[in-house]
Amino acid sequence: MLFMLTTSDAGVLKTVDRLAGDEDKELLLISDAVYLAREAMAEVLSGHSIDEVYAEEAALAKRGIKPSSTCETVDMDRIVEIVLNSQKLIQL
Amino acid sequence: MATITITLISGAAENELADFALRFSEAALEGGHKMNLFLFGNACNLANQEVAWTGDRGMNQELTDFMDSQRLLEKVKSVAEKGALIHTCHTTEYVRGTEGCEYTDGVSRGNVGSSLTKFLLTSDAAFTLGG
Repeated sequence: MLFMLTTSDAGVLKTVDRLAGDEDKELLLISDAVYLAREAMAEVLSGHSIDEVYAEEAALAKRGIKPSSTCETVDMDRIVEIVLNSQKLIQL
Repeated sequence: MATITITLISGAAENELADFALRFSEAALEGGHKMNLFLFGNACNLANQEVAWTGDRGMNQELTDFMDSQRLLEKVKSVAEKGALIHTCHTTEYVRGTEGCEYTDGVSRGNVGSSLTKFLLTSDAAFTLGG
């Protein structure tokens, strides 16, 4: 299940856990959510059993954020691909 | 090739999501996919032609440049020209008092019952963006 996050509030990850249940979880971080891609947040994300974390390249660049090594930086072409590959997509 | 529908509920300037939706649409169209955009809620304000203020704007150039960076009309026109189907929700226009305003090129009056339903029934992927 793909979650497109738009907020930097890590509290939204509890909602991700509830909605995903036993399904695999992927995060696509856009807008202010790319703050969750920082190295300082890697431990927080690891506590939620996230399978893949993607962060939008343009949103990272706009904020001067260097993502953690566990996060894949993605351009818009790749985001289109990720969306089309997702079986379920929820924006939070 | 896939058909993708975005139900957009954020307008320009309130956050970055309308801009994201339009950049996503552009990339999808350039990748050979079909795009449907349904302008719902505040996003219906993206549908209309601009009406320029003719008096003293009361903004210096720096502020004007900043505000211009958040205006999205040209991007709406661009994705429409590239083939996106863009419909509004006329009810959300009505409540904002903009239902009679002229649409920009490529935007059509629509509604949830027919426009959005048709978009969703003919899409391979769909998501809502905004809030």
